[in-house]
Amino acid sequence: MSGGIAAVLALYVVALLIIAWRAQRRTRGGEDFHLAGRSLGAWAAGISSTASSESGWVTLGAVGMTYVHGISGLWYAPGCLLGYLVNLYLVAPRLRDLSLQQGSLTLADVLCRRWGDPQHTLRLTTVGIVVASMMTYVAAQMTAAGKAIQWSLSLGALSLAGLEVSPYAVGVLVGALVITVVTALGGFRGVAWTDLFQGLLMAAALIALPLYAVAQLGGFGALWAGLAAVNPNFLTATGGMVGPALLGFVVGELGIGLGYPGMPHVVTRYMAARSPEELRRIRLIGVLWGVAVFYGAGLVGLAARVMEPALADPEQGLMVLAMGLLPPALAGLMLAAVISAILSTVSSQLLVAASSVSYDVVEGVMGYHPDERRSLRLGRLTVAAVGGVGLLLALAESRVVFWFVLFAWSALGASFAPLVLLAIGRTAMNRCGALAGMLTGAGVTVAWKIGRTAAEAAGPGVPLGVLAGATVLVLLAAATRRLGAGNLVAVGVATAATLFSWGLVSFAPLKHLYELVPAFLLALAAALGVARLTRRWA
Amino acid sequence: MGEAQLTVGAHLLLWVFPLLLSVAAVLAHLQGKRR
Repeated sequence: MSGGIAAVLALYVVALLIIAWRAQRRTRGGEDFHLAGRSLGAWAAGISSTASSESGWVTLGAVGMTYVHGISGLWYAPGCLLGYLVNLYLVAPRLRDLSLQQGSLTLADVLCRRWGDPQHTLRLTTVGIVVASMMTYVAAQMTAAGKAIQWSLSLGALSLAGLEVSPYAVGVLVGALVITVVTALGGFRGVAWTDLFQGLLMAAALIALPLYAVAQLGGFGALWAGLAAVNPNFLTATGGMVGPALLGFVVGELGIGLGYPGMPHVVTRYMAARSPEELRRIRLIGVLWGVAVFYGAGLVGLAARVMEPALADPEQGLMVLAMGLLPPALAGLMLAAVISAILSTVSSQLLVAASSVSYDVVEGVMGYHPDERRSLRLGRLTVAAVGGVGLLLALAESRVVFWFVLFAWSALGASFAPLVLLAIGRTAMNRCGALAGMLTGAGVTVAWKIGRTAAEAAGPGVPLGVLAGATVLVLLAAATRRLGAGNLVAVGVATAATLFSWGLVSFAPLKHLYELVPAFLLALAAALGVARLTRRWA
Repeated sequence: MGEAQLTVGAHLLLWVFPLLLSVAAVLAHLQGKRR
């Protein structure tokens, strides 16, 4: 069985490497490596911005959502698509103009130049949040890639130089190695081009597979009948939920969309677009791709529920369906699409994390300005280092992919989405407000997530942790002579907002609410409030 | 078999929203092109 599949997967890897090699030949300096020389066409920018925002979550998690909840599981689709609309129609054109005026290459760069950052406080905080979130994200995605590769090739344990290696580790190693090489070689252009290839593969798979599965079932009538037989609530938009549970579920699913403007690996694509005309085409491509992929994944979950009603892991719905319905070569293509979803996100995140370190810290904060050739080498080395750390984290087997991804998604979304929206607008804002917004977004995300899900939520651990974190920040600021009144106010307000959210989440009806929603709102309020309080100092 | 019906909300969520969104995106694109 796995011979045909292995051949297709091998072809897919070869295609990725060839694309990266071609991109590498056109990558000559720092701006090329970090932003493809601002020369991306509509297809590469459009598909790569959307493909990199949809990780293994869409081919694994979203499929699992409709498998478990029926049609009501689809609420994530309008949530994500509303996020697309805000990004494509509001953020993209303004952010591109702003970054071009400023000459910015990264998201941290945009924010720091927008509000001034003489002491690099804002830049270092941005880098801290970006690197921490991206590392978790990358590790979680490598875990997913490992699982998918191991599962699809039915790998057994291997023995390397007398060392027994688990099949999971082989999967992780293969995925991590390929994607780190692709990213380090091709830089931003390689990542965008491989994203385009992988994004088209994802869309094709997520359109073709569910339609074929529904046809095999005997049409949509048979699909609905099959779903109703499992649970009549599967045919409703409420899934049988009522009251606060329903409200929390729907608001939370729609709230996923709030995060999009804050994803550094997504919005940098708009900064790299060649011209405003390209942006117009990017919009259409982005929206249509999003509709196809989100609804395709949803339909796969529904069809899988009827065809394979007793899956131990609902997130494997797509893979099980592909293996059951298709000949090996086509099943291999479907699995390549699953792995594509994962790797297109990993490559973009690796690059963002590496840009944060090599461009924002080494060139921005430390003031080392290498020539083009050295800047390129520095970028490549950081990609390799970040990829290596992600690989080690993934090998440590932090296995709950969905949990980690939503966590990193909301931390990034809450910390940066309000600020990106403020940066492209005209509201009065300053660097202290921005700092407060970032810290509040990250703090509330963590507190709310733990308060909502973890058993240890009852103890004093979280409030103590918040206070300890604030103390560390103040001590760090004092040690590095950044302890201005404005920064103190920012840390104080972020601490208060986080503790407030911790009190709020203990109310039973709010426990259903996805953390990005309160974290986004509190971060926005903290940013605006602190900007007003400190307008004389900053 | 064949008796199962989607609720109105399910129809809106599953078909109406994505169709309207796609049509709106295409129309907006065409209008922008004409300008």
